[in-house]
Amino acid sequence: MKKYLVPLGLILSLAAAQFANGAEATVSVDGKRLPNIGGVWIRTGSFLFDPAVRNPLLLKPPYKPDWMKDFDAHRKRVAETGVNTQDPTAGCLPPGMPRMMSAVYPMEVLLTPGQVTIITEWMGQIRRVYTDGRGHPEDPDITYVGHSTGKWEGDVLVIETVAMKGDTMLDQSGMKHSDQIRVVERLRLLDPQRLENELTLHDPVAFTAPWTVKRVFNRAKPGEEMREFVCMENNRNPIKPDGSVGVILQGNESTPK
Amino acid sequence: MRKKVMTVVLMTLATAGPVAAHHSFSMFDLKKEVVLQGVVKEFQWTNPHIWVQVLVTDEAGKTIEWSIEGNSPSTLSRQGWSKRTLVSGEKITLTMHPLRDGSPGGSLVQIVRADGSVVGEKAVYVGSGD
Repeated sequence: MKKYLVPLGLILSLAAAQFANGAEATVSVDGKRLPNIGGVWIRTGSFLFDPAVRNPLLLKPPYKPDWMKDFDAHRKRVAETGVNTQDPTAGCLPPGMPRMMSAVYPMEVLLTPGQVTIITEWMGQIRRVYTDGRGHPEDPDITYVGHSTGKWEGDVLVIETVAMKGDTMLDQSGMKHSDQIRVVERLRLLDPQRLENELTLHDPVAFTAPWTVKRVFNRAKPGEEMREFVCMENNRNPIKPDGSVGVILQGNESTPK
Repeated sequence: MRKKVMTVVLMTLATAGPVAAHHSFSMFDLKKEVVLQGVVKEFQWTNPHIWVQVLVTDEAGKTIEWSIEGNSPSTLSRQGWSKRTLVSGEKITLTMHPLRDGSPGGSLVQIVRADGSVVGEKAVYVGSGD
């Protein structure tokens, strides 16, 4: 009984008010009155998968021993030498799921009948979360964003994502995952100006247990727009043959580039 | 001997300084800061990162072009930067974390204009907690 008090209270308070920036507090979608998680959202917390951690050496992924050994060796090497060979986004490949939900730059959420759409400004990635009751395909292609279905449990949008590529990283620290990863997200409004995403990673290949983190987003200020992001516009940080990130210098004709 | 390039080794953690988003900035030595006095050759207000090309001339008259990488237009525009923040020909004093390999490049910390005003970079935009 008690667990329903807070969501009900939130919905009632939202129904009574408009957001300060003029957005509607609730929206009608698919015949339901839902908390308006739509709009542009600004990340809080660090760039890393665990928003509470800033130093990669302090990350605690629930890796199996051999995965932990590899990651420990990698992060120590990066800390000591500055050579990071595990960041494909440097070469302008998309972060994919779940890294894109760290929303290094803002993200936009759209609520439409049968679908929630999440657009991240960084790399311009788009997730289509089907809320029309369909399941995952029987034999889905493996993609950067995977295949997502969602359903509302009271005021919480629960999203399940499968079929993600296994060669993306969880963040720029170079934490790997497998293509067997399954991501469950619980999105809800903490208040009209704050969105929480509780992400749980299930990876039976890499992990000994699920890994859950919470990330909070602030609603963008009125008039704050999403920007265009084309990574190859002027990417001067190519990935070198050894996998590390380089810098393209300009000028100084005598200086090798 | 480039008189106009001053190196300061700071007793700071590697996590200090600007943090950019598109990739790890580990190829820069975040424990060091180098100050350049020079002239803006070109301001590249572009994704995935902005670049400031700075011409630095030493006492012997030799000019070196430095490539200084900054954050993204996404982040910087939310800190008040725009495509007009720097103009070619402007004299600046620029602080940066140098490339570890010693070649003429670095990651931007801050710029001081000729009139003394400071053009800075915060690690991230407001509210991020970074």
